[in-house]
Amino acid sequence: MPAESVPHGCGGVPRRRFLAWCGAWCGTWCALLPGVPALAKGSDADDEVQLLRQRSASLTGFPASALDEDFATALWRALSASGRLAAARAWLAGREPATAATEPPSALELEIAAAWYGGLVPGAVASVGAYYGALAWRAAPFATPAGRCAAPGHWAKPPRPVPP
Amino acid sequence: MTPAAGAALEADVVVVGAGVAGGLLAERLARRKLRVAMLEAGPRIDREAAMRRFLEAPVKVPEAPYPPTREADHPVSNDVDHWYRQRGPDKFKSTYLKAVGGTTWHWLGTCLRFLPADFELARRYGQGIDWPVGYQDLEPYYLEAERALGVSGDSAQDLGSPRSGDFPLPPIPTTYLDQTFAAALAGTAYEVQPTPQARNSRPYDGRPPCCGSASCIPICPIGAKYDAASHVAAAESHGARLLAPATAVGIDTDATGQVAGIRFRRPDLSEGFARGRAYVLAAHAVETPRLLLHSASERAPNGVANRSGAVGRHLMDHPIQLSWALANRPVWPYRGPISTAGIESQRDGPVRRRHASWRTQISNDGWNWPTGGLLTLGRELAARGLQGQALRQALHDHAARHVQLASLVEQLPVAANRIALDDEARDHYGVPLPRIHFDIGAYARQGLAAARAAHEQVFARLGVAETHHKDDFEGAGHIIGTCRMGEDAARSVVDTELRSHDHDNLYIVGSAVFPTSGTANPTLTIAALSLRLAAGLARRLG
Repeated sequence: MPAESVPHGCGGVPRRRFLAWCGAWCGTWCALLPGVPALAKGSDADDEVQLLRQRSASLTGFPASALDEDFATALWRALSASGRLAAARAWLAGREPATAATEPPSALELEIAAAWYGGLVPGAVASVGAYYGALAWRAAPFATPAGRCAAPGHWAKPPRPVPP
Repeated sequence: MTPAAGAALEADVVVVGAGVAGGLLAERLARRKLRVAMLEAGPRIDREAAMRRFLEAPVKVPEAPYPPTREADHPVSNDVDHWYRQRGPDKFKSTYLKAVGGTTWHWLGTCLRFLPADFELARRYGQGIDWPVGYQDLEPYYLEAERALGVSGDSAQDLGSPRSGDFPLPPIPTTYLDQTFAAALAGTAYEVQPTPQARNSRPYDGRPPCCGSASCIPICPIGAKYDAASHVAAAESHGARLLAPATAVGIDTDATGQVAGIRFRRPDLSEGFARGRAYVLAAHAVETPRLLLHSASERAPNGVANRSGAVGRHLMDHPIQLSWALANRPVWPYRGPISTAGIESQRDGPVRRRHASWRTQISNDGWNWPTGGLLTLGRELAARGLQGQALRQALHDHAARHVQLASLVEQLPVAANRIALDDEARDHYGVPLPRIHFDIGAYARQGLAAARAAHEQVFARLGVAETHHKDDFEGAGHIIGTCRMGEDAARSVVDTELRSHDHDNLYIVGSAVFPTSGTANPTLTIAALSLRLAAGLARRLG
């Protein structure tokens, strides 16, 4: 929780005390971010994960650098494990995603978009990091990711504009 | 404290169930130096572990942080055929937890009082049955309950339930979304009013103020929302003993008609026996009748406390009309407590002669309930052909306009709607699973239809681009009836003091004893009844 969001304390609580409450809680969750085993740098699988991030960037509207590598790895493994490796490789090798005006998205594209925006790898157990890393929260930054403390009473006013 | 198998647990009062009814009662009695023992079927909940389970759950249902186990099995919202043996014609869709603190772990926190008319439905409108106690009997206990739970509210606001004192906490601010509805509906029959709620607007009772985590259901990450684990802990600090997990499996009676003790089992199936001067069943409106019915014996062939045959009957909920829409302009949902305001003007009136009344909850969590909300929106928009920046922008603009209304409709008490014991399926402890016969009835269905029409009017005033209605009702999580209170021993289970008509030292507390459902979320009334019982028991036993 950014300190500047609680400038004068909250709901009658001294600022320091409130931050201590939330800080203790947030600290716990930071320790729970997932650790997906990394792929060997330069391996074929690693190259494919990097390509998945690049292709997903075109699909989702977020730059590849903003797409979590661990999540991409888990997503690639899930696609491989579900028997769609060939289709996924074909998609990676294909042209840029279709636009709305030309043709509908494929089932695979839908699944990949849904995974990134929903923070849920198909067929896998969810993780804390993936939940909070869901692109939906970043596309709608006015929303409070469920379970994360914001600031008391902030909801009574419209959100401050967030630069894209 | 873990008594060895065969050794009896001795207390002045044995309480079955450590939720809001049992926890509050135990805390009040323990403060008065009575020896209290609590039997709770579920475990203690560690908040951080529960949060982790919630975040890791692929489906974010209310039970996600508290999944059922073989040893403490319970219903779940996303599979209403788990645990319940449903005999129809309607599915019963409301659930409960087995845990120290009970279902308050995932309640919304709404703390409305019943209206005076809710106690007199038969006298005023020729429907249902009257309560044997009136609003004026409960009012002092409502006030005490608001202080015990820590209710934030506007004391000057007229919600139709006269008050003799102030809320202990100032109101929680309403959301920008609420304010948008309020402005649109000003001057109509659908006045928007802030909701009293057991959610701290400032520090209270050792708990912090609400930080707007938008996750009241299923869990408040910092305990700003009241849950009954706090009263269980307070009871223990005053000397009450908690046995958890320990599942009550039978009630023994003696030749004089008194309850002689309660048999329980631990998860390893070892057995125990709890003996007291008085016994209080506070195990909610499914487990309480289930235990009573399962305790049938030669002395009580229909089950304990069931000479009337009313145990398990008159099961009710608040069937919900769920509607959602896309506002014409941003209202900024998905922020703050899940509900901070509602429409209370339809809770009473002559219309109750014809169909059910209702209250409308204005929800701040967008389309979470009907569609999965933000986290499923990416897929939905991508399916429309949106990609890249267009998808990202569309998600922002769409989600900012999500609104949702949930109207909780009154349901009449009907004897055929009941909890019974299943003939075949049993739980880990050998107790038959609850078999449910349920039909919400024409009175409630007409109320649902009226609520749906009202939602259309509300959305029209707000200005919306699209509207959706759930065609079937939803469950409110408000399990009511099954051990009704009444003066007539032939038609009810407990008297006005919540004492069994059949057994002088057996009491029942919780929404099981409500003769009718009203439209208010039941927890505050459960708490008020619990405090009233605590006062009576303290007088009797002290």
